[in-house]
Amino acid sequence: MTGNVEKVTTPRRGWFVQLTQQPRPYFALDGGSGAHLFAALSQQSPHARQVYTPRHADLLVIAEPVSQKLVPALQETARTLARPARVLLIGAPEGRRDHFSGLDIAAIENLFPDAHRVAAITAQAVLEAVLNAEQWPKLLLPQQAEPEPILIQIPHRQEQEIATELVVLSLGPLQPLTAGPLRLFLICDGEQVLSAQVEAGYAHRGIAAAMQQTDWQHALVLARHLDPLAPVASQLAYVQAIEYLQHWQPPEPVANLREAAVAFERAQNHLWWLLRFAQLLADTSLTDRAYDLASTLAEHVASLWRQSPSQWISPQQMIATSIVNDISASTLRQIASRLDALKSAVARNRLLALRTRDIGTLATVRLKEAGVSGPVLQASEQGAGDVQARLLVRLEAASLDVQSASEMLESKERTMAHAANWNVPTGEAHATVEGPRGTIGIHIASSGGEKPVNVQWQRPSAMLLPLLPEILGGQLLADAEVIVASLGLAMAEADG
Amino acid sequence: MNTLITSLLVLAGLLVGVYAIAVLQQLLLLGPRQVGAAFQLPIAQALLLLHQEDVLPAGADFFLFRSAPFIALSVVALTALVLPLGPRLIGFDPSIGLFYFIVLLSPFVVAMMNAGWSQNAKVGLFATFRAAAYLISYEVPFGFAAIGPVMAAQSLSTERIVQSQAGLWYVVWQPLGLLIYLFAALFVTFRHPFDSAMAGSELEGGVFAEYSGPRLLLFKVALDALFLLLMGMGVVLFFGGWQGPFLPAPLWFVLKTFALAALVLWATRFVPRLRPDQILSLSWKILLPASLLNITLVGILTLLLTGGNP
Amino acid sequence: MNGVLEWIIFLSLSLVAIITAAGMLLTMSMYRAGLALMASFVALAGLFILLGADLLAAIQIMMNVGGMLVMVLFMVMMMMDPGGEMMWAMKRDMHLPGPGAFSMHMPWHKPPEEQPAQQETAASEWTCPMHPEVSQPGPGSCPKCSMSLIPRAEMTGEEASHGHGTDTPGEVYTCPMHPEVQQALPGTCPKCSMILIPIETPQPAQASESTVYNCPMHPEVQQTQPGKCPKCSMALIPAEKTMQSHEAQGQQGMSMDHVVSSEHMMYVETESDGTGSPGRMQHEHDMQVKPAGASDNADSMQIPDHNMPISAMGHSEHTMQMADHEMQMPGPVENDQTAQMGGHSMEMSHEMNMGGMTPRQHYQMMVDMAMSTAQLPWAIVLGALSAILLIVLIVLTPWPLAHAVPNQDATTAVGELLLSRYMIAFEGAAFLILTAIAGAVIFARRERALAQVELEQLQPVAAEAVGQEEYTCPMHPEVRQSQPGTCPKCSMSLIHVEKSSAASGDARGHEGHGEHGGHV
Repeated sequence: MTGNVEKVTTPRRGWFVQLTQQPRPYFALDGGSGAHLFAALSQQSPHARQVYTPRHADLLVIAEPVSQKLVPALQETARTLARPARVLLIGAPEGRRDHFSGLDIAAIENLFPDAHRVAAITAQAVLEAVLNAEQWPKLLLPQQAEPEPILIQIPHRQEQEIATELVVLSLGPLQPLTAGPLRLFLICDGEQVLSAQVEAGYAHRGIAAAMQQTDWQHALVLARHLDPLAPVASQLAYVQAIEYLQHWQPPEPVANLREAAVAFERAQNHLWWLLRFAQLLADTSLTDRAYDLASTLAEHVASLWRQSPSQWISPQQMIATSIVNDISASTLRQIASRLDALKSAVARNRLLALRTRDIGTLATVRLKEAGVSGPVLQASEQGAGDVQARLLVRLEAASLDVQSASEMLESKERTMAHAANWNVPTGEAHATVEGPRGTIGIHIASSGGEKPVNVQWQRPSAMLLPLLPEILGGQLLADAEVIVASLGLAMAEADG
Repeated sequence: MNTLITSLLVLAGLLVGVYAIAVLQQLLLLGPRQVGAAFQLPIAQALLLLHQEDVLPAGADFFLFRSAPFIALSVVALTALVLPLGPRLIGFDPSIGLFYFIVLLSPFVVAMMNAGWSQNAKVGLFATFRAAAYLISYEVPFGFAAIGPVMAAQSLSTERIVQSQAGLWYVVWQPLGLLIYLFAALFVTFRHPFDSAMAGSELEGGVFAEYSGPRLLLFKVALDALFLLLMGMGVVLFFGGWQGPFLPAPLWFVLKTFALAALVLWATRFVPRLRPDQILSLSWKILLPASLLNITLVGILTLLLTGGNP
Repeated sequence: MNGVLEWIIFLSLSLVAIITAAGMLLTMSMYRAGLALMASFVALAGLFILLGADLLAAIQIMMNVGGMLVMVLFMVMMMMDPGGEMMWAMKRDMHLPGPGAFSMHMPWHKPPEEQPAQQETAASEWTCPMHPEVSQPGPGSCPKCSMSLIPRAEMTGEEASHGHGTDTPGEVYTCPMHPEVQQALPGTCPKCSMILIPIETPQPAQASESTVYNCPMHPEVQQTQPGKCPKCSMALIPAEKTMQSHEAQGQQGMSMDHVVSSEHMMYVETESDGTGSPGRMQHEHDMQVKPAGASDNADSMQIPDHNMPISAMGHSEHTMQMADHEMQMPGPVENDQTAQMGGHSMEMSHEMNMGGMTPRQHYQMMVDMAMSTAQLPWAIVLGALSAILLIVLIVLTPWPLAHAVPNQDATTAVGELLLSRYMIAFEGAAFLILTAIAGAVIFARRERALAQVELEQLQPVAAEAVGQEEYTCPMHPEVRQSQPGTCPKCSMSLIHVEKSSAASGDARGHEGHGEHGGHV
C-alpha cells in the first residue's frame, strides 16, 4: 500500500507560508505498512517532527490497515495525545474496499469519526496534510480501552543477599525498533535485560486465510499486501507459484525485468532501514546521508517504470520493454558507488562501532536451525554476526542490487506483449523470492477452480521472532534496542 | 531596586540567549537554505508548547512533578548571574564566582531526576537512575578541568580569571582542560551524545516522557539556557572572556560564546548516542585520569609561566 | 541591598527552610524526605549569601546536594517503598486523616505493658512480617530489617486447618506488595523476594457455583474470579471468608513453608493504563490522585481515629464494623492541622484480639508504621526548647557587640576563619559518622551472626544435599560446570548451585522460554 514511497521531494513553500507555519509534532502509528513513509516524512520538513511519545504530540498519523489487535493500543495512544489533538489517516491510494475485504482489520472511521483522511500517493501529499492539520476538526476523547492481561514468565533467580527487584519493561507495541507494531516485554534487573518475552500479532490481517476466500486475481492484490514494505517480492512469489502450476517459464527479458524490480525494492528497503536505524542512534550525519541516498534512489526508481511493477507482474503477463523509461545507467551506477562509499565510511567509523560492534552476535548454526535467511544470516556467515556486520551486509547488498538491476535493464531485447492468464490448473506449487529481509516463500494448492485451495507463506521475519528471547537475554537495555533494530523486523510480514 | 533591575536584566538576557542558541541549533540542523525556518521555528515551537495541554499524570508525585521544571529554570537563572559580560558587567560578583557556578549545577540535575522519578512511569525511573549516574560522573572532571584556570589566575572570581588572561588565553596552554570541560558540559546539559536520559528514541522520552505543554517548555528552556551558560563559562575560563580589540566587550563575549557553541554542536553531529555504561566509562576511565593529568601539567606550567605571580 | 527587599528575601528563605525541614520529618516518602532536606539546606545557603558568606553558601550547596543525593540513591536502592506509595495507599484506604503522603498517626499514649505470660503459651515462634524465614523463640527485632517480631501461630489458623503447605487445588499465592503476582505454589515474589501469602479460594466443601470475590477494602467490587481489585489493586478474596480470613491477609499471614519454589513463576500482568503509548508502563498501585491534599483533610476529619492492626493491610470496612461493637470510640476529635501527628487519644481495648498481637506488639507495629520513634515527643520538646533558647539569645544578645566596618580584608578574614572552623567541624563530623557507620556495620554483623546461630539451634539443620560442586549461570541454568568461571553464553560469572531441586526446576523453566514469541 504505502510500502514503497514513490516520490520524495521536499516541497518548496512560499516565504510567508513558512513564516507562519506552525510546527506540528506528530506521533506515527504504523499498522505495519507505513515504515518507509514515516521514515521519509520525518526528514522532510523541520516543522513536521516525529516524536516518540504521544504525550509530546498533538497529531496522530495512522497508516492503515490497522489490525484488530492493535485497536486498544490505538485508543490508548489517542487518549494520551496532548490536546488539542487531531488524527490523520493515511489510506490506500486505490480505494479501500477492494483491497482489504476479508481481512481482519479495524475500521478506523468508526473509532475516530473526526479523522482526516489522505490517500498516500506521495510523501509530499502526506506532508502537506500534516502541516495543514490545524484546519481539521479536533479529536474528542476516545473511550478507555480494555486491556487484556498478558501472562509474563519471570525467570527464576537464585536467592540473593541483597535482593534486587525485577522490572518488566514493556516496549510497544508502537516503538521505533521494528517496522510495525511489536510488543516486547523486557524483564530487566537494572539496566540488564534478563529475559525477553515477545507479543506479536499486532499486525495480523489474516492474508493467507483471506487469499483462500477469494479468486486468483484478487488474491494477487492480497499477496501484495503480505509485506507492504516489499510488495513486489511477495507478489512475484505468488505469480511464480501460479506460473509453475501453469507450466510456464517467463522468457529471459521478462524474468530480467521482474528480477530488476525486486532488486530495486530490496535496495530501497535496505536504505530506508538504514535511515530508521540511524535515527534510532541519533547519528545526524549518517541520517542525512541515508536520507539522501534513500530519497535519490526512490526518485530514480519511480521515474524508471512507466507502469509500476505491481501492475505488470501477473501470471504469464509479458510486457513490452518500453515499460522502462530511458534512464542512463550511469545514474544508477553513481548511486551504487555512493552506496559503496557509505559502506566503507560506516566500516571505518569507530564511534559507530562503539554502539554496533560485538553486540548481538548470532551463531550461524542457530540461525539456520531457525530457518532464518537474508541479511541476518549473511552477516553471520560472512562477517562477525554482530550488529555492525548486519549494517554492512545490508549496504553491500543494496549496492549489488542496484548494480545488477541496472545491468539487467540495459538489455534492450524486445518481447511481445501478452496478457495475463488466470486459469490455474490443479496441483501444488512452491515458489521463493529473495526479499529484503530474507526468503519469502509461498506454497499454494489448486484444485483447478476459482479460488486457491491452500495458501501458506514462509515469512522471513517470523523466523526471527522466536529467537528474540535468547538474543536479548543478558544484554544491556540500550544494546537490546539496537539489536532489535538491527534485525530489521517487518511486523506486517511477520504476522501475516 | 538595583537588585531587582539586575536580576530582571539577567533573566531577559538569558531568554534572548536561549532563543539565539535554539536558532543556532536549527541552522546547523537545517543547513543554509532554510534560514527563515531556522529563525522562526524556536518561537513557533515555544508558542505551540504554551498552547498545548498540560497533562498531569495520575499518580504523579504531587510536589516533585510540578516543581521540577521551576527548580531547573531557577537554578539556571541563578548561575547566569556570575558570567561577566564586560569589565564591570556582571550580575553578582562574589569572590568565588566560579565555585558558585559549579555547585549550582548539581541541583539542576537533581531537578531532572525528580522529573523522572515523579512521573509514575517505568521509563521515567530508568531515566532517573541514568541521570543520577551522570550527575555523579560529571562533577569531578568538571571541577578538575575548571581548576586549571583557577590555578593560573589564583582566584575563583570570574572577573579575575578574565582579567588575568589579558596576556595569553588559557586555551593556548591548557587545551586538555578545555576538552575535558567541554565533555563535562555536554554531560550536565544532557546533550547528544550523552542524552540517553531524555532523548526521544531512547526509552520514549526518558525524564520528559510525561511532561507536555508549558512545563516541557520550561525544561527545554532550562536545558538550552544551561548549555549557553556553560559555553559562556568556557569562554570565560579558556578564551579570555570579553577581551578583544575594537568591538565592545559584551559583543566579543557573545561572539565567542556562540562560536564555541557552534563548534561543539557541529562536532556532536558525527557521534551516535552513547550507551549509559559507555558514558560512565568515558567519565571515570578517561576523563578523570585526564583531568588529573591536566592538573599536574597546569600546575607545572603555571609555576614556569607566571613564576607564582598573577 | 534595599532593606525591604532584604527582609522579604530573608523571610521567604527562612520559611522555605522551615517548611521543607518539617516536610522532611513528616513525609512518608523517602525520596521526598531527601529532597526536602536538600531544599532546606539550599535555603540556608541563600541565607548565608544574604550575610555575605558566599563561600560558605557554595560549600553548603555542594555538600548537601551531592551528599543528600547519594543518600537518596541508597535509600531508593535498599529500602522497600522509597516513594512512600505503599504507605500512602494504606493510609488512604484506612481513612486516616492528614494530607496524602504524610506520616501516619503516631500513637501518643504510653506503650502498654508486656504480657509475656499470656503470649508464650500462645506462640512459641516469633517471626518478622517481612521475613518469615526468621524464626526466634521469643520476641525481639528482626535481624534483617529490625521490625519487631510477631508471633507466627495466630496467622496460620487458616492454613493449619488444611495442612502446612499443601496446595489445595485452586489456591493462589500472592505478594503483599505486588498483588498482580499470582502463583499456584508458595515461594517468594519474583519481583521483590517477599514471601507469598495465600489467597484462599473456596474449599471444595464450601464451593458453590457462584463464588463471589471481593476486595477487602472495597466490598462493592465483586467478581466471580480471583484477580485484582480495580480500585486498589489488592488481591480479591472470597466473600464469605472476608470476616475470618482478614487475618490471613496482609503481612502477617505468611505461608508456613518458605521453601523457594523451583517451578515456573508466572504472574498476570495487566496493563491498567492500556497498551498503547510506548513506554506507558503499568501503574502497579493505580492511584487516583486528588489534586490537593486538602480534600483528604476535609472529609477525613469526621472519621474518628481507630486503632486497627496495621499489619492486616486494609480491611477497613469490615473490621471497623466489628470494632465498633467492641471498642470505645476515642475522645473528642481535635481539629487536625496539616501534617500534625494528631492529639487523638487512643484507647486500647485489651480484650480485642488484634490479629493475635498483644497491645504491646500492636503499639510497636504502629510505631514502626509511623516511621518514627517512640521518643518523638521528647525530640519535639527538645527541639522546641532549643529553638526558644536560640531565639532568646539572638534577641537579647548578651555578649558585647562591636559595629565593624565591612571591608574586603574583613570579609576574607572572616571567610578564612569560618572556613577553618567549618572544615574542622566538617572533618570531625565526617569522622564521627564514619565511626558510627563502622560501628553499626560491625554491630549488625554480630547480631546477624548471633541470630543465625540461634536459628540453627532452633531448627534441625537440614542435611545438605550432598551433590557435586556445580556452578551454573544465573541466566542460563542449563550451563553446568564443575569449576567456577564465566558463562559461555552471556559471560556472567558462574555461581554455585545451591539446591539440586532448584537447579532442575530452572532447567525446566528456562527451556520454556523458547516457545514464546513468534505467532506463525
